[in-house]
Amino acid sequence: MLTDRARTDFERWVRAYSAELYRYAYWLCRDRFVAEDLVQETFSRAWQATQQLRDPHAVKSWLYTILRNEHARLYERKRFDIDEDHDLAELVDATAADPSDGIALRESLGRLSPGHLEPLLLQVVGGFSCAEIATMMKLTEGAVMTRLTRARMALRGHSSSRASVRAIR
Amino acid sequence: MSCLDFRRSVLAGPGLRSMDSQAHIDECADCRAFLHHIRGLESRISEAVLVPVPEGLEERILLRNESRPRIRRARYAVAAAILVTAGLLTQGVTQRAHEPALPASTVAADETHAAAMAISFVLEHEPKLLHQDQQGDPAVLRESLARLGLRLPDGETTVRYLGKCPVPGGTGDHVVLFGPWGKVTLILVADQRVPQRSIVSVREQVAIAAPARDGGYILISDSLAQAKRMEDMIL
Repeated sequence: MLTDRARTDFERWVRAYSAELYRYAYWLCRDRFVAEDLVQETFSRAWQATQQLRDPHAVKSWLYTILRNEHARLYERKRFDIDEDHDLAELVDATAADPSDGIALRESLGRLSPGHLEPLLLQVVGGFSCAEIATMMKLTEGAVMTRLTRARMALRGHSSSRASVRAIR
Repeated sequence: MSCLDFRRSVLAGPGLRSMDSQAHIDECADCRAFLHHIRGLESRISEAVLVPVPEGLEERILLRNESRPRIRRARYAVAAAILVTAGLLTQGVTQRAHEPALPASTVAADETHAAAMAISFVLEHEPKLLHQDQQGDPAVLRESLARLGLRLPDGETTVRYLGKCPVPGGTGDHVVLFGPWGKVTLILVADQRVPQRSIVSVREQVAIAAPARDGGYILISDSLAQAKRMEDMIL
């Protein structure tokens, strides 16, 4: 039997995290109706499993993990092959860039592979550290950093202030 | 710290800054410019991911998961059943004087009946949602209706709200329509079985629930005639 305290906590979680979870879900599935279903299902599962939450300070990452699992279950996510050993120097020297607006940047976000988009979302939307993302995605911290680097490099083409960027010495 | 190490750390997390990296940008103008550039990009990424959150999302989540004390639920269920029965016996507890009697298909329902839940949602949440003036995209509504073999009501009817709402086992489309004779709420339930057509009368509201293709629809109004008129328009 859940206590009033548990109900109050649950409502607080909904108020605090539903918006960012929705945005995270939206970028995972790119469908606003599916995104809302994912968030609804996430909170339903959280509500049913409240007593399993051991660390109250880990609510946010717990909710994100539930949502990730729900999304994976929904789409039976395939494993995406990602080349972690790509030469970073080559990437940093890339200069292709076109001035663009938010729409183009959103399109570029949508074109990122799920394996690169997801850590970026967890960092930008969720505010998680590389170590936390590594735990959630069951990766090494180094692999997360590499994926974040590559994601930003892919989006860098939409930065309008490229003039000042030069190649590494 | 080398330029490569510095840039790698910036790309992995533009907000992070170690003492080493601070020392590096104090000395390296190129990397200082790179940091400035990437932070500008980060700002735009942060804005780009801010897709609009559906209005009323928090309330719908809370409604779906709310857990009232058992005694209150039981009392409410009994009240619903009594009102439905009263509707059958008196032919008009929830109807206007000039309206037809509730038909024989009227069912005794408890609060778990989809139509009774829809009425509760309308009474408890719709007033607040209507203040949000979320008219929605008619194309999305038309598509949702088409999936169920239904059609958009004619030009005399306006859509005052379009959003999502909880239905047994999932989420439905919540549409508030205003026609010449007043407000009717339409809830579209896709991909879930809706049993045979039934009419439920609870808390001075009437709901018509009926199957349609792979799902069904629920029309809620304070008048059975009004709900039926709207039903004729969408079928």
